[in-house]
Amino acid sequence: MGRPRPAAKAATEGEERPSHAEVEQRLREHRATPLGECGEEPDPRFTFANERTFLAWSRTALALIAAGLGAAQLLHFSFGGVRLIIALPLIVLGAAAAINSYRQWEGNERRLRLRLPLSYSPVGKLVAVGISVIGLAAGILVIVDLIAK
Amino acid sequence: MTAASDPREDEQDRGLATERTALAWTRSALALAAIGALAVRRGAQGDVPSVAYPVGAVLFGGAVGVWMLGATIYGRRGATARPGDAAPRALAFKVMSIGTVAIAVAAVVLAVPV
Repeated sequence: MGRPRPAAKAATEGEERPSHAEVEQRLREHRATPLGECGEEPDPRFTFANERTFLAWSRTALALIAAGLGAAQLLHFSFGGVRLIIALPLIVLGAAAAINSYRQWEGNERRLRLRLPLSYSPVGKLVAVGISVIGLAAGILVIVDLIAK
Repeated sequence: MTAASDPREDEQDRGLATERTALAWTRSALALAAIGALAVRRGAQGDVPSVAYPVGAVLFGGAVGVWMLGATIYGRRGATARPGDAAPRALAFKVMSIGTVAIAVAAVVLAVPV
């Protein structure tokens, strides 16, 4: 306890930050290489962090699917099909998050092993915008349904 | 290569990275079991095909599988984080990712009343 913790080594420490084209080039060279033989073993803590990120995205996907399934079961509007307007986009968003979780994990594992900068996923924005739009739509539908009754 | 220049680094997981990762596996298993419960509940409503119960059973099985996988990987070595312990688990993750898409398809079937 209390021992100073050494600063974690950045994946690109000691190197010039490579340009986007160089990163793409190096990733292309190693596209067919199995992950375990690609580059060299990174600091295990980075690998564990990447693994937790994958698991967190998986759970996000499962939670979106569960929310969609729950909406289909628990919502009761005057028109039966209306709840599917909320349920189906949630489930589709969950599927997109699930596909992305693996792609992002493998991409970042490869980048860690090749000492390349990590990539950011556009799916985070997609999920945030998707949930906002679905939430807004759900609110509007509830009000419209109340007025119609 | 790694931050293991300090020999104690081999015996001690300073950031508790393995413990946090093991807990993440447990949460993932619980999430699967929760969806399994939703599927079974949907089956009990009666207006869906009888596929709801098998889907629930598969989800509970998946939850046990994920939990056991996490326990196998982190059970005995959970207190340490040596290089090499974190060998990429590409196949397991691929199966989990594709499995989640399959769950989404099953959820669409269960969501739409017949």
